Amino acid sequence: MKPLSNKPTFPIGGYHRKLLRVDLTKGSVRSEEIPTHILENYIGGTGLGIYLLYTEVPPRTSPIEAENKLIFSTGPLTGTLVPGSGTYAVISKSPLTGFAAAAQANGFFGARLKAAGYDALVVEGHSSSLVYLHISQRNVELIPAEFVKAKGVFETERLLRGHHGEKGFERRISVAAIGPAGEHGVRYAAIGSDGGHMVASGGLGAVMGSKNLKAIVVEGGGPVPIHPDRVGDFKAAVQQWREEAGATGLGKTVHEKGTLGLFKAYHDKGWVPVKNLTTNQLPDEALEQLDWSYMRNTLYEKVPKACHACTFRHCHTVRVKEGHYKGIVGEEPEYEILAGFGPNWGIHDPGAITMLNNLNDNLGMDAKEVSFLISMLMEGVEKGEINKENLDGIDLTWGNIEAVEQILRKISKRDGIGDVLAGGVMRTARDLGGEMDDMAVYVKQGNAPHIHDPRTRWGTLFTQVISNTASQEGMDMTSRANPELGFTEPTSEPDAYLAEVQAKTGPKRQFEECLVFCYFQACSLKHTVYTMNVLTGGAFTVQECLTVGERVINLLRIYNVREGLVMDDDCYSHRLGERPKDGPGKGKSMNPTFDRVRAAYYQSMGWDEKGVPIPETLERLGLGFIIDDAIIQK
Amino acid sequence: MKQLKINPDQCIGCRACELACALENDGVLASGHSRIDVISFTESREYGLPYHFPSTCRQCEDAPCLITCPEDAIAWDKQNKRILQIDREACTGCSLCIHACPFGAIRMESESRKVYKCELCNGYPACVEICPTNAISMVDQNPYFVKITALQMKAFLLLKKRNVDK
Repeated sequence: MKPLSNKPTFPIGGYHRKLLRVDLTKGSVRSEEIPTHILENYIGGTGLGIYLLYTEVPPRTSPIEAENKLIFSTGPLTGTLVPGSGTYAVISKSPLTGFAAAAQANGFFGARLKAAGYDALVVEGHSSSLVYLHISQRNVELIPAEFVKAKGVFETERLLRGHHGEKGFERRISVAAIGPAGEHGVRYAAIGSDGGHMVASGGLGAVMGSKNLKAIVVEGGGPVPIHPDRVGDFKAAVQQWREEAGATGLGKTVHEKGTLGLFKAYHDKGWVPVKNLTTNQLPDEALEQLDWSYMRNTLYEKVPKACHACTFRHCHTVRVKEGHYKGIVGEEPEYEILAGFGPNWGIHDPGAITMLNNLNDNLGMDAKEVSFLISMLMEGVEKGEINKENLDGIDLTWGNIEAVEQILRKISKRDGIGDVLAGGVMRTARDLGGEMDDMAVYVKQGNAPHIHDPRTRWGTLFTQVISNTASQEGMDMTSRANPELGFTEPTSEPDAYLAEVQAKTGPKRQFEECLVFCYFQACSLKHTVYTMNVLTGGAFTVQECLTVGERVINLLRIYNVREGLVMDDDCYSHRLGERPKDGPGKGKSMNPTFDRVRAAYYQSMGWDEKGVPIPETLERLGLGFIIDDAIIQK
Repeated sequence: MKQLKINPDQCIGCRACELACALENDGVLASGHSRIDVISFTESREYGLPYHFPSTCRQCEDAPCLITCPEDAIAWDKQNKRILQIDREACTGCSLCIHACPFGAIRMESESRKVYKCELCNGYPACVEICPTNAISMVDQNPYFVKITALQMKAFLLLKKRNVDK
């Protein structure tokens, strides 16, 4: 790499170092400079988000009161030729868990926010009337949004894009919107952008709705800074990234099969959730219908709908060509939706699953929470714990697609029983009482997990149990190795090795979430860091980047402790410890080893026996400034 | 003679071509500086099967821009690669070429008040290199006449008029 004429200072590219602050109470907007040392320590994305959340929002603020802030954040590589770099992160305090939430969506929104001239956006206060935010290079304005009130995510996007010059087509504009669920404060309401890319985890759509903010429209086209001396090296780095990502890991299969291709393999491992985890067996005809090849080649007429600079034929918009749902148009479901709106509900018709996915995205809700909520209710009906009268006369039995539709619509408006169900799996189970909590699938921070049967997929289960953001914090290494992090073998037993895996993969993944790019387009960590350094002029080593990830995890952790997290929250519901009755995972559970793994994990992280970071760990990570805040309060 | 060939059916709508173009030609990561544009059409009311359409200069043999330019600032390249090039020194920013081009391929640069368009990266287009699905390629083709397209549109209008007037 050719040295620059002056001593290189970070950053020389990648960042605008600009944050847009919008005060909805006052109706004012203001552009601020982001100090370099913040970017050096937190990079962007989730890291920048939790730094702002921790330092700016007072302790014990309610997620839906005006003092909470909703942060939209990108990273230095956002909006470049790094594949899948249109992604953005959203961070806030979650109405579902009461702890931090950080979720991402792919598409183009992040790239266009960057192209409009901003690295991040902070939304504060409450608007007295429903508004939307319009951001372009030339100006930023708040506009009355009555005409899109109560409209679904897709309709809102279509109307707002048309309002700003792209009627019936897309060129430079992205829209992030909430549906009725967000407007009604459903605790797991999502934000949807670019036609079905969902910021799903943690109910951030409800935070947006509580602020009376219906949507954000961004117009891109402007530059992401790049130093002239770095153009050649950046082009080469990007080319290598694009080749590597397509040849390794998930990249190898999603190109041809999407994530649908994972279904058969996961079923054979006992990881597909069936009927609220009451069984792991699926009939053969179900497996035939839920087959990626049947769906992609026969059931669907499909057109690729790639994200910013993506190289894969992964995402598609599809039209169902046969069956009861012929004519339905929507997004091709991902694996979790295929499983979660399919076998988890006793539904085996992929046409129906496509329709229900569309409906859920349009109403604007987190599919994970919806899946395990409805599966729990269906089991409750089967076992006689609840009946039609409890559900406003809706006959929510296994496989009843019409009943699911009715329930989803009710939840989105908090109509009747929808008002209870809008609380999510854990609250609903406790509200309904009886045996419901024994059936419920959730992690104890208060959110439903990703749509798998994780009872024998220890890495996936554990990384969500200890996640500080209502999602997955590290990586599941149950069936793969990662030599870069020192793991030459997959983890196959829930023992102390799992704790070590989590302690190492967590920082890696959280560093990547500071950069913010599509998870499927990952190349090696070494090349990721190299590319970042080329563009930004940084001189980060791989270890320094892992330290950033570790810093972010600890700040998230301290934030959660400050907001009331206790050790018992790092656990899972009864059903998740129950041994599978059949299938490849029959008889296995994490229960006998969980306490030991959790204790070993806390120790690996430099936390005390209650899971609270100790002062030495905080000092080492440059988080000494928060020692006075959180720990003394305890 | 190699020319750019765009196959919209292969386009996935990633828009990497726009950024690669801007980076190659102007050294900026900005789709606003791109010489190639991707428009994605949607079909139905709320959401539809998208149609991705990348479009750029066709280096027309009978280029209207060349004919219209009062300064003769648009001319064929000297290496016989059949690339229409803009002489920015001669360009006065009158924008007659912008109006003449039926494809919206000529753009005005706001700071300099000079026009710019695709010049095939002098034979090795950046968009071809970056496109992950070969929706854009550089292949031997017959020369393109925009007059032919204009005649074809005229034919369609005549045929339609015949049906409508009956």
